Amino acid sequence: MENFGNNREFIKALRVNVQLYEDVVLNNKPNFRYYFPETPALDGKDIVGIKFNAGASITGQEENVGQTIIDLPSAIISENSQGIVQQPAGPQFGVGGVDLDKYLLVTIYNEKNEQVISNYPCHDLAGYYRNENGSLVNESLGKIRPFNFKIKIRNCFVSSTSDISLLTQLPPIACFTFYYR
Amino acid sequence: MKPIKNSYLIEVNLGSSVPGAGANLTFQDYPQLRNIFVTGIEVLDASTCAVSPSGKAVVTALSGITLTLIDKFNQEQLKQYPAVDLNPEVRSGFYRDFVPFPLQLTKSFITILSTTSLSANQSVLLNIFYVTEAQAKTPSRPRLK
Repeated sequence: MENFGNNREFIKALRVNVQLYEDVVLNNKPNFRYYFPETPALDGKDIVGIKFNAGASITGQEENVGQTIIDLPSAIISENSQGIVQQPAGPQFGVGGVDLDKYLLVTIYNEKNEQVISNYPCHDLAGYYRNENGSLVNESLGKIRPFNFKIKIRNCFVSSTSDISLLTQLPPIACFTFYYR
Repeated sequence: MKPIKNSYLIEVNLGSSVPGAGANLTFQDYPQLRNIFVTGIEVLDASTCAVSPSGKAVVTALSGITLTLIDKFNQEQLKQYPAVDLNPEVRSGFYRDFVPFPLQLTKSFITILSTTSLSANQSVLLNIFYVTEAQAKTPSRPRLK
């Protein structure tokens, strides 16, 4: 990770999916909280990086990826520049190619129940940047945001700033990769 | 980029009419951001976060906005820093690190240099990376002997 400025290497990476809404009427309102599922493997772990994944057609939940690469191989992470959150093994969704991650924020608590990350824009965690042509790109080996805290995953949640059911027709899933040691 | 220990998203709303060129907009008080040391900052536009947590539309361009940060000794640590330079999307995905300094948020402000592409009721979002006083006194890793 030194090439990308992160001065702590990760040992494992764990992918966690958050179901954003299932009932269009009940829980698709702005600022509704979608909590992360119980993930004991992450609790108390030293988080060194978080990435919000573009495309989520993933089969494996946990990958022991060693210490020398900064991200899972692109063959495992099938990323694309448009479908930021995606129904697993399903079709692309989104009305007119709306990038849903622009409407998603993530809040993270540490093991002391302190809010360490408050309303972090998911788009910023996806590693997007503009290339020399001004186009928005997201490389599969893009930069991941470096963090340093111990996480309590059951308190963490994703929130939307808009009624995302107006932007997509399928119940979306937000997919995060936590890099930890 | 240094690892982020804490971050907090704050918002400055332009108000019911767009401020004139040269106007300073101070930040409101956020209790979580009292007695902190700033380690890095992002300024975000609508391409990163389309709607603010309070439901306001986010500005679409940062080119006419600068940022001034005041520390608790009333010294200007950043003065008229171009906001667009703090947007990671146009900086190859990197955010700007600072040597940590004690922020006095309520005296810090953004300055509107140009109202082009700004509209009423839009907000400017800033993602503040920081460490608390206790964290600043404690090294994150054991020192090598």
